[in-house]
Amino acid sequence: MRLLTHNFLRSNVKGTENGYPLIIEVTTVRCEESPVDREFLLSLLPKVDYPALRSAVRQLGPHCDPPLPDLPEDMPWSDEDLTSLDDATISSLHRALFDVYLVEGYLVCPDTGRKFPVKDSIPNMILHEDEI
Amino acid sequence: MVEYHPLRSEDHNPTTAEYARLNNDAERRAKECRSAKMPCLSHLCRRDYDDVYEPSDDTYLLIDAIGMDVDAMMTTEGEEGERRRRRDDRRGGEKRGGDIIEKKIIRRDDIEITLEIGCGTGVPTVYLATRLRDMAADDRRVVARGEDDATEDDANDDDDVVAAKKKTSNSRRVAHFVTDINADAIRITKSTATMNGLSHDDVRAIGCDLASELLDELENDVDVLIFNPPYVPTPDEDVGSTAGIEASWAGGADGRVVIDRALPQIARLLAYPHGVAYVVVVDDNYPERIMQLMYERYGILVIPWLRRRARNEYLTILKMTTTRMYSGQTRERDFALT
Repeated sequence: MRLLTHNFLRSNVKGTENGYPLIIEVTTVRCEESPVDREFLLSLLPKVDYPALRSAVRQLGPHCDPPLPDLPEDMPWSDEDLTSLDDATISSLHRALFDVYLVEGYLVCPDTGRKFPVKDSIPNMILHEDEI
Repeated sequence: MVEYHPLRSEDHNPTTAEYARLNNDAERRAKECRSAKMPCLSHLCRRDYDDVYEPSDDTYLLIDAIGMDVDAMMTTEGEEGERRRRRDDRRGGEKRGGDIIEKKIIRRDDIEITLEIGCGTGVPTVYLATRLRDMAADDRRVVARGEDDATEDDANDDDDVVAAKKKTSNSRRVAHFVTDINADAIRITKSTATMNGLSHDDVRAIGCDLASELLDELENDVDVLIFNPPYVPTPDEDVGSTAGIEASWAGGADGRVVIDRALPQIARLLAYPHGVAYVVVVDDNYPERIMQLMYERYGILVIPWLRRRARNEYLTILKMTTTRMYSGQTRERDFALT
Protein backbone atom coordinates (compact mmCIF):
# COMPACT_ATOMS: atom_id res chain seq x y z
CA MET A 1 0.00 0.00 0.00
CA ARG A 2 1.31 3.39 -0.96
CA LEU A 3 0.55 6.70 0.70
CA LEU A 4 -1.84 7.73 -2.08
CA THR A 5 -4.13 4.89 -0.97
CA HIS A 6 -3.60 5.78 2.69
CA ASN A 7 -4.63 9.33 1.87
CA PHE A 8 -8.05 8.13 0.68
CA LEU A 9 -8.85 5.72 3.54
CA ARG A 10 -10.96 6.40 6.59
CA SER A 11 -12.06 4.25 9.53
CA ASN A 12 -15.80 3.65 9.82
CA VAL A 13 -15.76 1.45 12.91
CA LYS A 14 -18.81 1.91 15.14
CA GLY A 15 -18.45 4.87 17.48
CA THR A 16 -15.90 6.70 15.33
CA GLU A 17 -16.38 10.46 15.19
CA ASN A 18 -13.45 11.25 12.96
CA GLY A 19 -11.58 8.25 11.60
CA TYR A 20 -9.18 10.27 9.45
CA PRO A 21 -6.30 10.16 8.85
CA LEU A 22 -5.32 6.66 9.89
CA ILE A 23 -2.17 6.35 11.97
CA ILE A 24 0.49 4.12 10.44
CA GLU A 25 2.26 1.44 12.47
CA VAL A 26 5.18 0.11 10.50
CA THR A 27 6.45 -3.46 10.48
CA THR A 28 7.97 -3.56 6.99
CA VAL A 29 8.38 -0.88 4.35
CA ARG A 30 9.75 -1.08 0.84
CA CYS A 31 11.16 1.81 -1.14
CA GLU A 32 11.31 1.67 -4.90
CA GLU A 33 12.32 4.64 -6.96
CA SER A 34 10.11 5.37 -9.95
CA PRO A 35 10.44 8.06 -12.62
CA VAL A 36 8.69 11.31 -11.72
CA ASP A 37 5.54 11.83 -13.79
CA ARG A 38 4.88 15.50 -13.29
CA GLU A 39 1.54 15.63 -15.12
CA PHE A 40 0.11 12.65 -13.27
CA LEU A 41 1.19 14.07 -9.94
CA LEU A 42 -0.29 17.50 -10.70
CA SER A 43 -3.58 15.93 -11.75
CA LEU A 44 -3.86 14.03 -8.47
CA LEU A 45 -2.66 16.71 -6.04
CA PRO A 46 -6.01 18.53 -5.85
CA LYS A 47 -7.51 15.27 -4.55
CA VAL A 48 -4.78 14.79 -1.92
CA ASP A 49 -5.24 15.85 1.69
CA TYR A 50 -1.94 17.53 2.49
CA PRO A 51 -1.96 17.41 6.31
CA ALA A 52 -2.75 13.68 6.14
CA LEU A 53 0.08 13.09 3.66
CA ARG A 54 2.49 15.08 5.78
CA SER A 55 1.71 13.16 8.95
CA ALA A 56 1.96 9.85 7.04
CA VAL A 57 5.44 10.82 5.82
CA ARG A 58 6.48 11.61 9.39
CA GLN A 59 5.33 8.16 10.51
CA LEU A 60 6.76 6.18 7.60
CA GLY A 61 9.77 8.31 6.68
CA PRO A 62 12.21 7.18 9.39
CA HIS A 63 11.72 3.52 8.36
CA CYS A 64 12.82 4.18 4.78
CA ASP A 65 16.34 3.84 3.48
CA PRO A 66 17.43 6.55 2.99
CA PRO A 67 14.96 8.14 5.42
CA LEU A 68 12.23 10.21 3.81
CA PRO A 69 12.61 13.87 4.85
CA ASP A 70 9.59 15.60 6.39
CA LEU A 71 7.39 17.57 4.04
CA PRO A 72 7.14 21.35 4.67
CA GLU A 73 4.62 22.41 7.27
CA ASP A 74 2.81 24.77 4.92
CA MET A 75 1.05 23.21 2.00
CA PRO A 76 3.38 23.85 -0.95
CA TRP A 77 0.58 24.27 -3.48
CA SER A 78 -2.91 25.64 -3.75
CA ASP A 79 -5.48 23.67 -5.69
CA GLU A 80 -6.04 26.69 -7.92
CA ASP A 81 -2.39 27.19 -8.69
CA LEU A 82 -0.12 24.20 -9.08
CA THR A 83 2.37 25.95 -11.32
CA SER A 84 4.26 27.36 -8.36
CA LEU A 85 5.64 23.94 -7.45
CA ASP A 86 9.38 23.67 -8.04
CA ASP A 87 11.10 20.49 -9.21
CA ALA A 88 12.51 19.60 -5.79
CA THR A 89 9.08 19.75 -4.13
CA ILE A 90 7.52 17.79 -7.00
CA SER A 91 10.11 15.10 -6.58
CA SER A 92 9.66 14.83 -2.81
CA LEU A 93 5.86 14.67 -3.18
CA HIS A 94 6.23 12.03 -5.88
CA ARG A 95 8.52 9.98 -3.66
CA ALA A 96 6.10 10.21 -0.73
CA LEU A 97 3.02 9.29 -2.73
CA PHE A 98 4.35 6.63 -5.09
CA ASP A 99 7.74 5.24 -4.07
CA VAL A 100 7.16 4.15 -0.50
CA TYR A 101 5.17 1.02 0.30
CA LEU A 102 3.80 -0.13 3.61
CA VAL A 103 4.19 -3.89 3.16
CA GLU A 104 3.33 -5.12 6.65
CA GLY A 105 1.94 -3.19 9.56
CA TYR A 106 -1.25 -1.62 10.82
CA LEU A 107 -3.49 1.32 10.08
CA VAL A 108 -4.90 2.57 13.36
CA CYS A 109 -8.18 4.44 13.74
CA PRO A 110 -7.25 7.76 15.42
CA ASP A 111 -10.53 7.77 17.33
CA THR A 112 -11.14 4.22 18.55
CA GLY A 113 -7.68 2.69 18.26
CA ARG A 114 -9.05 -0.15 16.09
CA LYS A 115 -6.10 -1.67 14.23
CA PHE A 116 -6.56 -2.58 10.59
CA PRO A 117 -3.90 -5.04 9.43
CA VAL A 118 -1.82 -4.47 6.29
CA LYS A 119 -0.45 -7.67 4.80
CA ASP A 120 1.38 -8.10 1.48
CA SER A 121 0.73 -4.38 0.93
CA ILE A 122 -3.05 -4.91 1.13
CA PRO A 123 -4.97 -3.05 3.85
CA ASN A 124 -7.85 -5.00 5.34
CA MET A 125 -10.54 -2.56 6.43
CA ILE A 126 -13.28 -5.18 6.73
CA LEU A 127 -15.27 -4.74 9.94
CA HIS A 128 -16.72 -7.47 12.12
CA GLU A 129 -20.47 -7.55 12.43
CA ASP A 130 -20.46 -6.01 15.92
CA GLU A 131 -18.34 -3.09 14.67
CA ILE A 132 -20.84 -1.85 12.07
CA MET B 1 -46.49 -8.37 -8.94
CA VAL B 2 -45.31 -5.07 -7.60
CA GLU B 3 -47.19 -1.96 -8.56
CA TYR B 4 -45.51 0.20 -11.13
CA HIS B 5 -44.81 3.65 -9.78
CA PRO B 6 -45.86 6.57 -11.98
CA LEU B 7 -42.90 8.49 -13.31
CA ARG B 8 -42.42 12.08 -12.39
CA SER B 9 -40.28 13.44 -15.16
CA GLU B 10 -40.99 12.23 -18.66
CA ASP B 11 -37.85 13.76 -20.03
CA HIS B 12 -35.53 11.52 -18.11
CA ASN B 13 -37.63 8.66 -16.92
CA PRO B 14 -39.08 6.52 -19.61
CA THR B 15 -42.47 4.96 -19.36
CA THR B 16 -42.52 1.18 -19.57
CA ALA B 17 -42.84 1.39 -23.34
CA GLU B 18 -39.94 3.80 -23.45
CA TYR B 19 -37.92 1.46 -21.28
CA ALA B 20 -38.65 -1.38 -23.67
CA ARG B 21 -37.29 0.77 -26.50
CA LEU B 22 -34.13 1.49 -24.52
CA ASN B 23 -33.75 -2.22 -23.87
CA ASN B 24 -34.06 -2.91 -27.60
CA ASP B 25 -31.35 -0.36 -28.30
CA ALA B 26 -29.14 -1.99 -25.68
CA GLU B 27 -29.68 -5.41 -27.26
CA ARG B 28 -28.84 -4.04 -30.68
CA ARG B 29 -25.71 -2.38 -29.32
CA ALA B 30 -24.63 -5.63 -27.68
CA LYS B 31 -25.03 -7.46 -30.99
CA GLU B 32 -23.08 -4.86 -32.91
CA CYS B 33 -20.24 -4.35 -30.45
CA ARG B 34 -16.89 -6.04 -30.72
CA SER B 35 -16.32 -8.90 -28.33
CA ALA B 36 -13.77 -7.76 -25.75
CA LYS B 37 -10.68 -9.90 -25.32
CA MET B 38 -10.68 -11.55 -21.91
CA PRO B 39 -7.63 -10.93 -19.75
CA CYS B 40 -5.55 -14.05 -19.21
CA LEU B 41 -6.63 -16.12 -16.20
CA SER B 42 -4.35 -19.12 -16.68
CA HIS B 43 -2.82 -18.50 -13.22
CA LEU B 44 -6.07 -19.61 -11.62
CA CYS B 45 -7.13 -23.18 -11.05
CA ARG B 46 -10.46 -24.79 -10.30
CA ARG B 47 -9.82 -24.57 -6.56
CA ASP B 48 -9.52 -20.78 -6.71
CA TYR B 49 -13.11 -20.60 -7.91
CA ASP B 50 -14.24 -22.09 -4.62
CA ASP B 51 -13.19 -18.76 -3.11
CA VAL B 52 -13.87 -16.22 -5.82
CA TYR B 53 -16.56 -15.70 -8.47
CA GLU B 54 -15.63 -17.35 -11.76
CA PRO B 55 -16.02 -14.96 -14.72
CA SER B 56 -19.17 -15.73 -16.61
CA ASP B 57 -21.59 -14.13 -19.10
CA ASP B 58 -22.10 -11.11 -16.84
CA THR B 59 -18.34 -10.48 -16.75
CA TYR B 60 -18.09 -10.80 -20.54
CA LEU B 61 -20.92 -8.34 -21.13
CA LEU B 62 -19.36 -5.92 -18.66
CA ILE B 63 -15.97 -5.87 -20.40
CA ASP B 64 -17.73 -5.63 -23.79
CA ALA B 65 -19.38 -2.44 -22.51
CA ILE B 66 -16.09 -1.03 -21.23
CA GLY B 67 -14.32 -2.07 -24.44
CA MET B 68 -16.94 -0.42 -26.60
CA ASP B 69 -16.48 2.90 -24.80
CA VAL B 70 -12.69 2.64 -24.96
CA ASP B 71 -13.00 2.09 -28.73
CA ALA B 72 -15.26 5.13 -28.97
CA MET B 73 -12.72 7.10 -26.96
CA MET B 74 -10.12 6.36 -29.59
CA THR B 75 -12.30 7.51 -32.48
CA THR B 76 -13.62 10.65 -30.81
CA GLU B 77 -10.27 11.75 -29.41
CA GLY B 78 -8.67 14.84 -30.82
CA GLU B 79 -10.06 18.24 -31.46
CA GLU B 80 -12.78 17.23 -33.88
CA GLY B 81 -14.21 14.77 -31.36
CA GLU B 82 -14.02 17.38 -28.66
CA ARG B 83 -15.82 19.96 -30.80
CA ARG B 84 -18.54 17.47 -31.68
CA ARG B 85 -18.96 16.51 -28.05
CA ARG B 86 -19.32 20.10 -26.89
CA ARG B 87 -21.82 20.81 -29.64
CA ASP B 88 -23.87 17.76 -28.71
CA ASP B 89 -23.76 18.69 -25.04
CA ARG B 90 -25.09 22.13 -25.86
CA ARG B 91 -27.80 20.90 -28.18
CA GLY B 92 -28.81 18.06 -25.90
CA GLY B 93 -29.19 20.41 -22.98
CA GLU B 94 -31.29 18.85 -20.29
CA LYS B 95 -33.71 17.25 -22.71
CA ARG B 96 -33.14 13.77 -24.02
CA GLY B 97 -31.40 11.80 -21.28
CA GLY B 98 -30.65 8.64 -23.22
CA ASP B 99 -29.32 10.47 -26.25
CA ILE B 100 -26.96 12.51 -24.13
CA ILE B 101 -25.44 9.43 -22.57
CA GLU B 102 -25.10 7.79 -25.96
CA LYS B 103 -23.12 10.70 -27.26
CA LYS B 104 -21.24 11.43 -24.09
CA ILE B 105 -18.00 9.51 -24.28
CA ILE B 106 -15.56 9.96 -21.44
CA ARG B 107 -12.29 11.37 -22.73
CA ARG B 108 -9.12 9.55 -21.95
CA ASP B 109 -7.60 12.68 -20.44
CA ASP B 110 -10.45 12.74 -17.94
CA ILE B 111 -9.53 9.33 -16.53
CA GLU B 112 -7.30 9.70 -13.51
CA ILE B 113 -9.01 7.51 -10.95
CA THR B 114 -10.98 4.33 -11.53
CA LEU B 115 -12.67 2.23 -8.87
CA GLU B 116 -14.12 -1.25 -9.02
CA ILE B 117 -16.38 -2.30 -6.17
CA GLY B 118 -16.30 -6.04 -5.54
CA CYS B 119 -13.53 -6.93 -7.96
CA GLY B 120 -13.68 -10.75 -7.75
CA THR B 121 -10.97 -12.08 -10.11
CA GLY B 122 -10.24 -8.49 -11.18
CA VAL B 123 -11.13 -9.06 -14.84
CA PRO B 124 -12.95 -5.73 -15.53
CA THR B 125 -10.33 -3.47 -13.95
CA VAL B 126 -7.43 -5.40 -15.46
CA TYR B 127 -9.16 -5.21 -18.85
CA LEU B 128 -9.63 -1.43 -18.55
CA ALA B 129 -6.12 -0.87 -17.22
CA THR B 130 -4.47 -2.84 -20.04
CA ARG B 131 -6.57 -1.10 -22.71
CA LEU B 132 -5.63 2.34 -21.37
CA ARG B 133 -1.99 1.32 -21.12
CA ASP B 134 -1.99 0.07 -24.73
CA MET B 135 -3.58 3.31 -25.94
CA ALA B 136 -0.80 5.27 -24.26
CA ALA B 137 1.82 3.04 -25.89
CA ASP B 138 0.22 3.59 -29.31
CA ASP B 139 0.40 7.35 -28.82
CA ARG B 140 4.06 7.14 -27.93
CA ARG B 141 4.74 5.15 -31.10
CA VAL B 142 2.97 7.73 -33.25
CA VAL B 143 4.99 10.49 -31.65
CA ALA B 144 8.24 8.56 -32.14
CA ARG B 145 7.38 7.99 -35.81
CA GLY B 146 6.57 11.67 -36.19
CA GLU B 147 9.93 12.65 -34.78
CA ASP B 148 11.73 10.36 -37.22
CA ASP B 149 9.84 11.95 -40.09
CA ALA B 150 10.56 15.40 -38.79
CA THR B 151 14.29 15.01 -39.39
CA GLU B 152 13.54 14.64 -43.08
CA ASP B 153 10.86 17.27 -43.48
CA ASP B 154 10.05 19.53 -40.57
CA ALA B 155 7.05 21.17 -42.16
CA ASN B 156 5.35 17.85 -42.76
CA ASP B 157 4.23 17.16 -39.21
CA ASP B 158 0.95 15.44 -39.94
CA ASP B 159 -2.18 15.92 -37.91
CA ASP B 160 -2.06 12.50 -36.27
CA VAL B 161 1.35 13.23 -34.87
CA VAL B 162 0.34 16.63 -33.58
CA ALA B 163 -2.71 15.13 -31.90
CA ALA B 164 -0.72 12.27 -30.40
CA LYS B 165 1.94 14.66 -29.12
CA LYS B 166 -0.71 16.68 -27.44
CA LYS B 167 -2.10 13.58 -25.84
CA THR B 168 1.21 12.23 -24.58
CA SER B 169 2.03 15.59 -23.10
CA ASN B 170 -0.88 14.95 -20.80
CA SER B 171 -0.59 12.23 -18.27
CA ARG B 172 -1.21 8.71 -19.43
CA ARG B 173 -1.13 7.22 -15.96
CA VAL B 174 -4.23 6.24 -14.07
CA ALA B 175 -4.72 5.16 -10.45
CA HIS B 176 -6.89 2.05 -10.41
CA PHE B 177 -8.53 1.16 -7.09
CA VAL B 178 -10.34 -2.10 -6.38
CA THR B 179 -12.21 -3.26 -3.30
CA ASP B 180 -13.66 -6.57 -2.22
CA ILE B 181 -15.00 -7.92 1.04
CA ASN B 182 -13.35 -11.23 0.24
CA ALA B 183 -9.60 -11.30 0.95
CA ASP B 184 -9.07 -14.08 -1.60
CA ALA B 185 -10.57 -11.89 -4.32
CA ILE B 186 -8.11 -9.11 -3.50
CA ARG B 187 -5.17 -11.49 -3.63
CA ILE B 188 -6.37 -13.03 -6.91
CA THR B 189 -7.00 -9.61 -8.49
CA LYS B 190 -3.38 -8.65 -7.74
CA SER B 191 -2.18 -11.79 -9.48
CA THR B 192 -4.52 -11.23 -12.44
CA ALA B 193 -2.92 -7.79 -12.82
CA THR B 194 0.65 -9.11 -12.89
CA MET B 195 -0.37 -12.05 -15.11
CA ASN B 196 -1.55 -9.51 -17.69
CA GLY B 197 1.58 -7.43 -17.73
CA LEU B 198 0.62 -4.77 -15.23
CA SER B 199 2.99 -4.03 -12.40
CA HIS B 200 2.05 -5.44 -9.02
CA ASP B 201 1.05 -2.02 -7.79
CA ASP B 202 -0.85 -0.74 -10.82
CA VAL B 203 -4.00 -2.00 -9.15
CA ARG B 204 -4.45 -0.57 -5.65
CA ALA B 205 -6.36 -3.14 -3.66
CA ILE B 206 -8.28 -2.58 -0.45
CA GLY B 207 -10.21 -5.14 1.55
CA CYS B 208 -13.44 -3.41 2.55
CA ASP B 209 -17.23 -3.45 2.24
CA LEU B 210 -18.29 -1.74 -1.02
CA ALA B 211 -16.38 1.58 -1.02
CA SER B 212 -17.33 2.56 2.53
CA GLU B 213 -13.81 3.44 3.68
CA LEU B 214 -13.06 5.52 0.55
CA LEU B 215 -16.28 7.51 0.36
CA ASP B 216 -15.27 10.72 2.05
CA GLU B 217 -11.92 11.18 0.40
CA LEU B 218 -12.93 10.05 -3.10
CA GLU B 219 -16.21 11.97 -3.19
CA ASN B 220 -16.66 13.41 -6.70
CA ASP B 221 -13.28 11.97 -7.70
CA VAL B 222 -13.98 8.67 -9.46
CA ASP B 223 -13.85 9.00 -13.24
CA VAL B 224 -14.77 5.40 -14.09
CA LEU B 225 -16.61 3.18 -11.64
CA ILE B 226 -17.26 -0.53 -12.20
CA PHE B 227 -19.64 -2.66 -10.16
CA ASN B 228 -20.72 -6.23 -10.83
CA PRO B 229 -22.88 -6.77 -7.76
CA PRO B 230 -24.38 -9.91 -6.27
CA TYR B 231 -27.66 -9.57 -8.14
CA VAL B 232 -29.31 -12.98 -7.77
CA PRO B 233 -32.59 -12.83 -5.81
CA THR B 234 -32.20 -14.93 -2.64
CA PRO B 235 -33.58 -14.93 0.88
CA ASP B 236 -32.11 -11.91 2.70
CA GLU B 237 -30.26 -14.09 5.19
CA ASP B 238 -28.10 -15.46 2.37
CA VAL B 239 -26.58 -12.05 1.66
CA GLY B 240 -22.95 -12.28 2.75
CA SER B 241 -21.86 -9.55 5.09
CA THR B 242 -18.49 -11.24 5.42
CA ALA B 243 -16.26 -13.26 3.12
CA GLY B 244 -17.34 -16.40 1.32
CA ILE B 245 -18.35 -17.27 -2.20
CA GLU B 246 -22.08 -16.65 -1.50
CA ALA B 247 -21.26 -12.97 -1.06
CA SER B 248 -20.35 -12.88 -4.76
CA TRP B 249 -23.86 -13.65 -5.98
CA ALA B 250 -26.51 -13.65 -3.21
CA GLY B 251 -28.50 -10.43 -3.63
CA GLY B 252 -31.42 -10.82 -1.19
CA ALA B 253 -34.92 -9.59 -2.02
CA ASP B 254 -35.19 -8.77 -5.77
CA GLY B 255 -31.40 -9.17 -5.81
CA ARG B 256 -31.33 -5.58 -4.67
CA VAL B 257 -30.00 -5.66 -1.10
CA VAL B 258 -26.35 -5.03 -1.98
CA ILE B 259 -27.14 -2.92 -5.07
CA ASP B 260 -29.29 -0.55 -2.99
CA ARG B 261 -26.50 -0.08 -0.47
CA ALA B 262 -24.08 0.70 -3.29
CA LEU B 263 -26.21 3.17 -5.29
CA PRO B 264 -25.82 6.13 -2.88
CA GLN B 265 -22.09 5.44 -2.75
CA ILE B 266 -21.87 5.45 -6.55
CA ALA B 267 -23.77 8.76 -6.66
CA ARG B 268 -21.33 10.25 -4.21
CA LEU B 269 -18.16 8.92 -5.79
CA LEU B 270 -18.75 9.76 -9.47
CA ALA B 271 -16.84 12.76 -10.75
CA TYR B 272 -18.87 15.59 -12.24
CA PRO B 273 -19.35 16.20 -15.14
CA HIS B 274 -17.52 13.37 -16.91
CA GLY B 275 -17.75 10.44 -14.45
CA VAL B 276 -19.28 7.20 -15.69
CA ALA B 277 -20.32 4.00 -13.91
CA TYR B 278 -20.99 0.55 -15.37
CA VAL B 279 -23.27 -1.60 -13.23
CA VAL B 280 -24.45 -5.14 -14.00
CA VAL B 281 -28.11 -5.98 -13.32
CA VAL B 282 -30.68 -8.59 -14.31
CA ASP B 283 -34.37 -7.92 -14.97
CA ASP B 284 -35.26 -9.31 -11.52
CA ASN B 285 -33.57 -6.22 -10.06
CA TYR B 286 -36.16 -3.87 -11.64
CA PRO B 287 -33.58 -1.78 -13.50
CA GLU B 288 -36.20 0.75 -14.60
CA ARG B 289 -36.72 1.62 -10.94
CA ILE B 290 -33.00 1.98 -10.40
CA MET B 291 -33.06 4.47 -13.30
CA GLN B 292 -35.87 6.43 -11.76
CA LEU B 293 -34.53 6.69 -8.25
CA MET B 294 -30.96 7.46 -9.27
CA TYR B 295 -32.21 10.40 -11.30
CA GLU B 296 -34.70 11.67 -8.76
CA ARG B 297 -32.44 11.42 -5.75
CA TYR B 298 -29.04 12.14 -7.20
CA GLY B 299 -29.46 13.53 -10.69
CA ILE B 300 -27.67 10.49 -12.09
CA LEU B 301 -28.76 9.49 -15.57
CA VAL B 302 -29.02 5.74 -16.04
CA ILE B 303 -29.46 3.96 -19.34
CA PRO B 304 -29.45 0.27 -20.28
CA TRP B 305 -26.26 0.25 -22.31
CA LEU B 306 -25.70 -3.36 -23.35
CA ARG B 307 -28.19 -6.17 -22.94
CA ARG B 308 -27.86 -9.84 -23.67
CA ARG B 309 -29.68 -13.02 -22.79
CA ALA B 310 -27.60 -15.55 -20.89
CA ARG B 311 -29.20 -18.88 -20.14
CA ASN B 312 -32.13 -18.12 -17.80
CA GLU B 313 -31.52 -14.41 -17.25
CA TYR B 314 -31.42 -11.14 -19.15
CA LEU B 315 -28.25 -9.30 -18.29
CA THR B 316 -28.04 -5.54 -18.66
CA ILE B 317 -25.10 -3.21 -18.18
CA LEU B 318 -26.48 0.04 -16.80
CA LYS B 319 -24.41 3.06 -17.71
CA MET B 320 -24.65 5.92 -15.24
CA THR B 321 -23.54 9.50 -15.78
CA THR B 322 -23.85 12.66 -13.72
CA THR B 323 -25.97 15.72 -14.45
CA ARG B 324 -24.89 17.75 -11.45
CA MET B 325 -22.31 17.90 -8.70
CA TYR B 326 -23.05 15.60 -5.79
CA SER B 327 -24.38 17.55 -2.86
CA GLY B 328 -24.07 16.34 0.69
CA GLN B 329 -27.74 16.92 1.44
CA THR B 330 -28.75 13.56 0.04
CA ARG B 331 -25.98 11.80 1.93
CA GLU B 332 -27.96 10.47 4.88
CA ARG B 333 -31.11 9.63 2.99
CA ASP B 334 -32.38 6.15 3.47
CA PHE B 335 -32.57 4.11 0.33
CA ALA B 336 -35.36 1.78 1.37
CA LEU B 337 -38.01 1.44 -1.29
CA THR B 338 -41.65 1.20 -0.51
